[in-house]
Amino acid sequence: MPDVFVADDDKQKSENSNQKAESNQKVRVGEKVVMRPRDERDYSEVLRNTPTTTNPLAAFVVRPKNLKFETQDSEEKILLLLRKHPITNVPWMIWAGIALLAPLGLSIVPLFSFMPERFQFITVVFWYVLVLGFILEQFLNWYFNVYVITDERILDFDFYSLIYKRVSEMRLDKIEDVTFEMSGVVRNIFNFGTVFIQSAGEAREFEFEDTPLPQKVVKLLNELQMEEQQEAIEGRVR
Amino acid sequence: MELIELLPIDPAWLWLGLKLVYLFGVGLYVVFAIVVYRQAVMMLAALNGALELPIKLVALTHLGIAVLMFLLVVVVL
Repeated sequence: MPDVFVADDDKQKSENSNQKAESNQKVRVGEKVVMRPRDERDYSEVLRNTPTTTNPLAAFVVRPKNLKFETQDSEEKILLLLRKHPITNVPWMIWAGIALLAPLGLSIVPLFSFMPERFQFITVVFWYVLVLGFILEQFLNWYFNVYVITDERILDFDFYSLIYKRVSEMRLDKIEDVTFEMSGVVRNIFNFGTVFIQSAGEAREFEFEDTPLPQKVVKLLNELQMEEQQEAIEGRVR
Repeated sequence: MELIELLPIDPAWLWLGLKLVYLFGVGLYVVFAIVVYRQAVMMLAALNGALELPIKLVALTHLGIAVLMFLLVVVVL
């Protein structure tokens, strides 16, 4: 006689493992039992398929290590760090290169020949110091003007001048519309563009300017929005 | 240089005036270098990552170079 209970045993085992997995996802908060949030790699194809990098000068960094910002919550995870594509630095680099070579032109066009030699020497040295300051300022502006996507919100860090800082943020559940734009030959060749994020709040639109892989950014934001909606339905807590 | 000797003022006073202009300009640059250092510190407080120490060192070095420049102007000119 065939053993008709084998299938039920397998079915029982799989049900038990599902229940165990589900119970691992549950946590008691007061008198309620709610679901834990899922790991970001479970619901995001972008985070699963994009390799991480340890390059500190990268412009598209998935799950950056050793990175913190001042308003970050203790349990908040940074999922993506974005900067302007490095190619956007080329114009000022070209100007800096020209400026560094400019003193060589004094041998052809002696602009300061009316000055004593000590003044000419100081002028050239001061010129190089000015160029160094320009390069440092441009680098700091590129390095620190970043866009951050966490598992709870998106942030835009802007340092407009030497002493003016502005940090804008938008919660993921406030995002209404996400689009991106890649216009021009250079942007299409190097695959960078601007991501526009629309919300209903006071900060109506965010612009992630000249970021690499804007299509992946849009996809990630859509995945995070769906996960936020799922969390709200299932009553998951952080 | 010959044109300068034709001027009605003593060239020594002219170069002293120019030295004061240079001192003022480099002095302003020292203030700028201090602000750049403060900017770097403020930015690192807002968002710190792997390059925290190198950026602080570069900003401090830039400030040191600016101060040395000022001293160079005082001594050389």
